[in-house]
Amino acid sequence: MDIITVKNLKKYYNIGEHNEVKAIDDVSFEVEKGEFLAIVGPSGSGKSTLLHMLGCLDTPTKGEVIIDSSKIHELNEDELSNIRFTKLGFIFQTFNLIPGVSAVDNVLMPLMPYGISSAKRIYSHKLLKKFGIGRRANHDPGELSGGEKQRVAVARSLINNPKIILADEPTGQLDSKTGREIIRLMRELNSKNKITFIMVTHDETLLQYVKRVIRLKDGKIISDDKNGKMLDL
Amino acid sequence: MIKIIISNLLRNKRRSFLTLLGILIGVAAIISLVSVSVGLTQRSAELLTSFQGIFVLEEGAVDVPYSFVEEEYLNDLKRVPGVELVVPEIWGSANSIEGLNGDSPLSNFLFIVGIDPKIAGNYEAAPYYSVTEGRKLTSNDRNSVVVGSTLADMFDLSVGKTLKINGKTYTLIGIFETNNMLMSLLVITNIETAREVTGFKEGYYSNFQVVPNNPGDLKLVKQRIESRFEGKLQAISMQDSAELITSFISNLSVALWFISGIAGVVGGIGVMNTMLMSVMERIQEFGVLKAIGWRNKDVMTMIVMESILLSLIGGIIGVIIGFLVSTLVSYYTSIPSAIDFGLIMQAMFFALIMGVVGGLYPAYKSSMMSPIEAVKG
Repeated sequence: MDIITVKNLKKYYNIGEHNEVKAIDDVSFEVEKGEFLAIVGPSGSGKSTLLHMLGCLDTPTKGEVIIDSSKIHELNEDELSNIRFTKLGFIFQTFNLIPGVSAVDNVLMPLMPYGISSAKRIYSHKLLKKFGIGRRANHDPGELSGGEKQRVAVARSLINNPKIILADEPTGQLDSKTGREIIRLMRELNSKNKITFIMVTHDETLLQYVKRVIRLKDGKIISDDKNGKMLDL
Repeated sequence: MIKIIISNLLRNKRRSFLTLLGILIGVAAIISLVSVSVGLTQRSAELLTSFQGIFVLEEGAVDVPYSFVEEEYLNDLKRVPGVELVVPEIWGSANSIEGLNGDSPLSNFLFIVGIDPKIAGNYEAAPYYSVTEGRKLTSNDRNSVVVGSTLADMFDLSVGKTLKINGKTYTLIGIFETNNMLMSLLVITNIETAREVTGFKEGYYSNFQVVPNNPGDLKLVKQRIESRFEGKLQAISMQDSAELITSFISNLSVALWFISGIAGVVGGIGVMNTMLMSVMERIQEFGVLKAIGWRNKDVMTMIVMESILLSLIGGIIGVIIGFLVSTLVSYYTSIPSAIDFGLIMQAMFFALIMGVVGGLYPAYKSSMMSPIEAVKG
């Protein structure tokens, strides 16, 4: 069953009067529920632009993105926020934790405007404990290592039980060992919790750990390999 | 949400403190200036209306000490319908009281006033007859004085002591209390003694104090005197002066509101500047918050709440400082502090408005940004 459908997606930018950049150029694919997918490509290939449109952060010039039966282009800003809140989780390359707020409050951050139940508070502590940073729950992000920050970011992406997690270069700021640990964590969540993962990366060494790889070049899909090695970490 | 709001404000403590300072100065200015001006209005009205009589002076004289009225008007004034009592007085400067530096600005307010105790009798409405220590003057007293309590305190005088005024020595026989600060600086003596000290011409007085039968007829009696003695005498009621001064101070209050308002607006601009700077610095954060599910209105609420919280804290501290300043002014000047719940609410409302206005534009600006623009910073 498809959880994401992308149909003839285009994202063009106008730079100057007669200079059109085709960041995404007529891309179509489907993502099944529970898939672990990597989008790779050189700089400027459009992989981050594609991820942002899948995450309802950016709007396409043309084409459709359907997430869990919701046609994204038909939704207003509040409805898009609701999709991001209920169905999606984000992991960023630079972690993007809120400074001055403890690790556990960062995990709870998506829920803050809506109210935080005690069950969710307990769950946030459980997540941090599960990721091996339970003791760092009350620490400020500034006091955490890169790996710890990314674990907090992963915990944050899980707090609202999303169906899909979008990860933009999640290992980009980490050393290779820590990077692999983060991928292992994501794989575990993918296999146990059946969460769909879409990861953008330029690190070719990570591709051996995923099942499906979409390669982009100049905004177009040049290959879609669904038979990845899925090596153990 | 409040946790993240406080954390955001604490992130740049110096900037938040400086903004707070701007707001608290505005609010403290409103509280202290307005309360002092209201207190001044109340006090002035109280002082002037406490003097119930009508001052009858020579036409054209700018004040009592510069007025010379002929003795013969005494009986003419008594015949004016509605007049109960006419009290002649002689006023002269008492600027060379022993112990007072002649250059002191206070010397301009020290007067020796001569009265005829036989006529003034039990006229209690004149504040200087309310002797609380010693006794009142009698017609037989020569070279004796009663003084106001403020003057007595200033020169450490007590009943029985002597006092040298304009080179002559007098015995203090009584001290009177009055809530009129200028009156409590007076030296009261027998009218003949006053004439002698001041060298006042025989057959003349400085003025008459006219007391109506009915205090409610004050205006009517004043009009009668004015029409009967037109071109010769002028009649001044303290209530007229009170109205004039109250109106002047009311205008002053508006001006003070305006001045403190400017301080407040500067504070408000400070809040807006802080919030704008803060928003510009955190654009990427707002993008992240939107990416993880915050709505535009949630981000806006957070920014406006930060601004309001900053303003309210500044407002509360400003009220406390304004209260302290006003109390200090009251303590050292005897102008009552007129801080009431209404004024505090007005000042807090002002702070709140500064917070809302200061936060709205930066909040609106942040909400107008698309999530992807914000994430990219």
